[in-house]
Amino acid sequence: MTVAQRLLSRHVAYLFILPVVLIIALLILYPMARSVVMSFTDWYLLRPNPARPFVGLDNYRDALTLDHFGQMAWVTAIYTVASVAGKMLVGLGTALMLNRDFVGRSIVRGIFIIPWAVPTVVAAIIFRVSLDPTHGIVNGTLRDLGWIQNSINFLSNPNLALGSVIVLAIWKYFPFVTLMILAALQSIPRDLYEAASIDGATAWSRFRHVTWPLIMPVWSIVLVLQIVWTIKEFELVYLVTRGGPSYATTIIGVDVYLNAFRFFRVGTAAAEGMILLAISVVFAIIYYRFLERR
Amino acid sequence: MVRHRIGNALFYLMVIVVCLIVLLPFIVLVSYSLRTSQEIFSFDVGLIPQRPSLEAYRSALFSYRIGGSSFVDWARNSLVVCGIATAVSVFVAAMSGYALSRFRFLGRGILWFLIVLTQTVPWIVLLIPYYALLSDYGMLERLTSLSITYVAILTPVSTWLFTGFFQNMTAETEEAARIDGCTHFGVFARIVLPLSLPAMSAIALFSFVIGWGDFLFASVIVRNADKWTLPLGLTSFQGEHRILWAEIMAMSTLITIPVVVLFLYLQRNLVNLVAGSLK
Repeated sequence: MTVAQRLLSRHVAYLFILPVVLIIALLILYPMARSVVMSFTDWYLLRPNPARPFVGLDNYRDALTLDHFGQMAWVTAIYTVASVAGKMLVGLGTALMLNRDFVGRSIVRGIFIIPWAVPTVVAAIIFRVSLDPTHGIVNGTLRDLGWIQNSINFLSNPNLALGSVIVLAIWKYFPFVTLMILAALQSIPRDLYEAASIDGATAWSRFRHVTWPLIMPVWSIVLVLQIVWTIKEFELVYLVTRGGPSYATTIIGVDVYLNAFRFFRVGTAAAEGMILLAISVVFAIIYYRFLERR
Repeated sequence: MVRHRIGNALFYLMVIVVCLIVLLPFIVLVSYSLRTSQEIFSFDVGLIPQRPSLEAYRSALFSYRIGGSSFVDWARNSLVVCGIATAVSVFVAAMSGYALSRFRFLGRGILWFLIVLTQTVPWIVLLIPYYALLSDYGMLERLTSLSITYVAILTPVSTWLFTGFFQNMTAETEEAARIDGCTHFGVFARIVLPLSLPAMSAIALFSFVIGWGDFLFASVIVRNADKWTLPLGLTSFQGEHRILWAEIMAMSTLITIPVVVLFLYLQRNLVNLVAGSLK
C-alpha cells in the first residue's frame, strides 16, 4: 500500500467510526461528566429553586456515613461474590456435563437458552409470585408434600431474601456461562483426549491437564464479564425486593436508584454512583487487558 | 457393559433434572397464566392448574386499563421504541465494528477501550444525568427520548459483538473487491453487510431484548401510562390493592414467548457470535 492509499484508508476509517464516536461522546461521556459534577453539588430534585450550589465532598461524606452504608457494602459484596461464584461453578459443571454426544443434545441447548431470553422484569415477577407465602407455588408445594406446617416468608426474612435473589441471579445467568464454556470445550480437538486416555490419564487428570488449560482463557473472560454485569445489574434485585426487608438486599445500585428517584437526593445518589463507577472501572481495565492479550 | 448402561441412565437422569431446574420458572409462568386470579386466591396453587382457562389472557389484553391505556398500547410503544433503537444501533455498530476490525487508525486503541468501558458503566450512573438533562430540556415523557437512551446503551455492546464477528471473518472477498475497484463503502454495503446478515440478526435480537426488558430507564423517563412500555405496564399491577396474578402472568407470558421463540430460532448464531467475541 502506498502512503497515499494508507492515508485514504485512514480517513475512511474515521467516517466509519464517526457515528459511534458521536454517540459515545454525547450520550455516554458527556452525561458521565455531568454526573461527576452533580456529585459535588447540592441537588435536591423537588426543590422549587433551581439553585444547585457546589458543596465539595459533602455528598461523598453523606454517602459514606449513611447509617446503612456498612451493611450495603457487605450485602453488595456477598451478593456479587455468591452469585458470580454460583454462576461460574454451575456453568462449568453443566458445560462439562453437556460436552458429549447424546440423544437430544440440541434440545437441551435450546432449553439452556431460555433463561437468557426471559426478560429480567418477567423473571423477577415469576420469583415474587412463586415465593409468596400464601399463594405462591413454592409454599403451596411444600405444604402439599407435608414438609412444612407454616408458610415460609422468603422475602420478609432478611437472610432468606438475600439467598432468594442470589438463587434468582444464578438461575438467570448460569446458562449463559454454560453455553460460552461449552463453545470453548467444543473447539478442543478430540485426539487430545484420546492421547491422554492412551497414556492412562484418569478423568480428573484429563480435566486438570487437558481441558482446564484450554478453556481457562474463556472461563476467565466470562468471569470478569459476569463480575461487571453483576455489579451493574441491580434491576433484578430491585424488582423482587425493592432492597428490603430493612436493607437486607440493598445492593449499592438499588440504593442509588432509591436515593435519586424515591427520595430525590440526587447529589448523594450521584456520589454513590461515582463509588460504584470507580469499582466498575477497575474491572473494565482488567477486562480490557484480557481482551488485549489475544 | 452393564456398568456402562447404568452410567448412561444416570447421565440422562442428571440431564433431565438440570433441564427441569432451568425450565421450572418458565413452566410456573405459563402454568399460573392459565388460571384466574380468583382460583389462585382460593389456593389453586399446584404446578398443574385445576381448571385451565385463557380467561387471564383475555382480561389482560382487553379489560385491563390504566389511565385509558392497555397492554396493546404498551406493546406498540415497546415495539416502536426498541425497534427504532435497535435498527439505528445495529447499523452504527456494524460500521464501527467493521472499521475497528479492518482498519488501523490513530485512536483505535482509545475507541476500543471506550467500547469496553461503556459496557461496564453501571447504567444507573447514566440514568441520573439523563433524567436531569431531559428534564432541563423538557424532553421527559417522550418515546423519542427513551429511544435515544436505548441507542446509547445498545450501540457499544453491538459494536463489541460486530468487532468480534468481523475479526473472525476472512477479508479475502473484500480485498478482491477492492482490487476490482470497489470503494470502501461499496465493499461494506455490497459485500460485508450481506455476508454478515446471520450475525446481524443475532446482534439485533441481542440488542432488542435489552430494550424490550428494560425497566430502569423507562421507569424514570416515561411516567404517564399512555407512554409506558411493556415492563412498566407489567409492574403496574403490583401497585394495585389486590394483585391480579393470573393477569400479570398472562402478560408476562405474552412478553416472553416471542423473545424465546426468536432466541431458539437464532440460538446457534447467537452462541457462536458471543463465544467468538470472547475468544
